[in-house]
Amino acid sequence: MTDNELIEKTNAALAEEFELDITLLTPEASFKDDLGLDSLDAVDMVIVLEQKFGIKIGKDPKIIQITNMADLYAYIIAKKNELAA
Amino acid sequence: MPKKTFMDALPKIAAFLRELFCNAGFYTGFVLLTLLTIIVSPPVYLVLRLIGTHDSGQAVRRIIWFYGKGWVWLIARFVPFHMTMDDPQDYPQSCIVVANHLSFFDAFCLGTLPMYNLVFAVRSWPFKIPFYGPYMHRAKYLNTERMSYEDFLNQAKERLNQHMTMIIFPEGTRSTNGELGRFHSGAFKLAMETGTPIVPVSISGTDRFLPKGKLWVKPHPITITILPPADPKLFAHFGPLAHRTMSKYVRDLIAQHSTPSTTCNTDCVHLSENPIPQGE
Repeated sequence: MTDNELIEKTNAALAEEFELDITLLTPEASFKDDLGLDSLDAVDMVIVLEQKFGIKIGKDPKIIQITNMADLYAYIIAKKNELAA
Repeated sequence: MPKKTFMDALPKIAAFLRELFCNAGFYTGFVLLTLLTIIVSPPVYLVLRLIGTHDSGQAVRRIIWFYGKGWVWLIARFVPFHMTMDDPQDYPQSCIVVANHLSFFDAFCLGTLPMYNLVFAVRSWPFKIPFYGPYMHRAKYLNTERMSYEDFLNQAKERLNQHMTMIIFPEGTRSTNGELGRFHSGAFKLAMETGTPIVPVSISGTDRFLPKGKLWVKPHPITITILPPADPKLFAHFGPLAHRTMSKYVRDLIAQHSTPSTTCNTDCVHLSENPIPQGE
């Protein structure tokens, strides 16, 4: 899966689960200010991503630092690369 | 171009006078009802405490509930006000009421609920409203902006254990365009964790009656539909995201009832008519 496909799959999963307008899911979009996601949504987002990509995120300290879509894309791409290695 | 006559302008004048009458009556009634509540609250509180059926918070919540009933009665003098619900016996006292949020007036509309021991989970600003703040504090309302989710969950659980009814507007704020917004999942997570039923309430017309940020009321019909309780156990098989499935289900139910009706009938959609989605 290419990086772009990963990004598209991430956007599709988040748009469906959190009932978000997919056009809002841009790299600059902030979880809180632009997408209106709260701390509970962040916990659910981890579950959605784990289920969607078959990756283990759990309580990874790196995920707590993520506040926007660009960082999330980078995190998922890195996780997938780790799995592939 | 034909010249406009007085007769042509008559419907507009009549509509304006109707609005003027509605505003004068509404605000006069609001002031009188609020003053009356402030005056009678202490003796009613004392009576409720002395007969021993109510603790302090419960007595204040009962007074607020009467105040809400008074508002509903008052507003029904000026605009068509329709309320639909099943048998009041079908609604448990300990439940989570989830309603869409269109106007400041929505909270008063919940005076139509058959439950009286109501605790609202609200943001900070309503606590700053003169006269209301002290009542809200004494009624043990939750200020969601001043607590973490864990604190909210613990305090809400405590209130549900004491057979109170939690009221939550899951959109978090009033809609600015009349459309149903995205639901935050706190109410549903609370329901799943405590096994407490959710009572969905659909409110229509209050955005036209008293729009967000406005003071001039419009004589627009208001419809309240109190839907049958949804049992969280029926969603448990959806696993760790069960609360989100329940949230979508309840949101859909509320959306289906969000169009104003002109007749007061019993067109409640029962859960059996809106089957809960089956997991994969």
